[in-house]
Amino acid sequence: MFTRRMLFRRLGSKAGMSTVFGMLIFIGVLFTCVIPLFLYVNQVNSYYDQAVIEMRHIDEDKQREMIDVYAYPYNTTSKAIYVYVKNQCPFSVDVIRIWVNDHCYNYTLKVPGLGWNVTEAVDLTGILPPEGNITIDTKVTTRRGNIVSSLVNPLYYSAAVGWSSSGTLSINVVINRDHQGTDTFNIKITKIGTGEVICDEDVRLIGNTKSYVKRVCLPQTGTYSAIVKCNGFSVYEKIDIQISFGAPCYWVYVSV
Amino acid sequence: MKLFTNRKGLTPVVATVILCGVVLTIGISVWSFTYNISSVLGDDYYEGVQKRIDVICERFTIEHISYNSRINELYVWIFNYGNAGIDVMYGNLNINVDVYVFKDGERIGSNTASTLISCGGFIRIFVSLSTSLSPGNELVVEVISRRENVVYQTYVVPSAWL
Repeated sequence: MFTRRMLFRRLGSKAGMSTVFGMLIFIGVLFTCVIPLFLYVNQVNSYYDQAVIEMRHIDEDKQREMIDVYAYPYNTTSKAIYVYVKNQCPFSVDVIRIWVNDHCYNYTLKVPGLGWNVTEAVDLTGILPPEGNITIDTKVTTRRGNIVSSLVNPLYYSAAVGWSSSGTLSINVVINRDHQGTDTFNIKITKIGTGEVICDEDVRLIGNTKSYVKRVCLPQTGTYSAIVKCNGFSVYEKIDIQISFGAPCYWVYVSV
Repeated sequence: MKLFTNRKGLTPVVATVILCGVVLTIGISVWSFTYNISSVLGDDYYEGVQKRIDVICERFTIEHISYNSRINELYVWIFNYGNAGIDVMYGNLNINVDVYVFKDGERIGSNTASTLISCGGFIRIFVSLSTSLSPGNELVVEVISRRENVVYQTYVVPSAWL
């Protein structure tokens, strides 16, 4: 009897109903509005963090991108230049534009990581004057936004004499070949008199690589010898290359 | 029939129904208000973050500058490398830029046309100068994007190429 009375009193009483309703509404709002908003904000924040990290990686890649660029004429009277790009970083580099003075050439050149590549001939007929002379500055733009100038800048072109270069004391060795396959070239630069070997380096050209350039910086003026061998056979030999401050640079062209 | 004519106990029932209705109405209103507010807050927050992402993902550089002494104009080539040519989620942005040219701290030219540069594209922007330049003059070129990123480049007027 007591139990029945207590039970009915409890069911019949409305005291505390508002608390229950209020709690239900509060929980409903919490689970359908506040918590989803909280999760959404967290997701957006992680989206932002991801963007920051990804762009930081891109910037790091851009900073780590390191290439050496050499622009060189095919021979002393050529009206075209080649651009040789040596990639010093472990990931591949895409060259997308070549600048010669104020002229832009769209060009796509892929240079593999720690590898090198060379462009086709870049025709400068429209830039080189029919008479007089001109200074040529070359630079390339990479897809990551780096702009790298040629290490042999500036080149001088004279309609009467052809190409020459100045700047640091150096001997630039250009190797061209008209066949495919693997060839090993040895470049040896020696100072006449002291016998000091400035450079003794093997270079291997593989596949259909047509051209290669090597800049050998020299410690002082004087007389030097340059010997280039292809697969053990001498293909170029000159023992009286005069390097002076008036003529600080000498170009060696080897065609095989 | 006695069942329908007897109104004893009807008032508490009606009161309870009204009370429940009022409570439910207020509850749904509160929930609806909160839901809308949270949705608006969420959208605003997302848009704000997206704008911040666009700002930090914008990448451009001054690729080349040249000076035309005949018409006293400076040409500025700007490269938008935002996509960097690789597979990124965030960098594919078009940009709008203004160019300002300063000499000795004084502005001598500008192009404020908010020139559009598409993602991965580059464009030449002309800047007419108020003073003529001579070889050796040093300029500061400032490029400001609409998202307020800034790139500076110095430029020394060269002697003629010839």
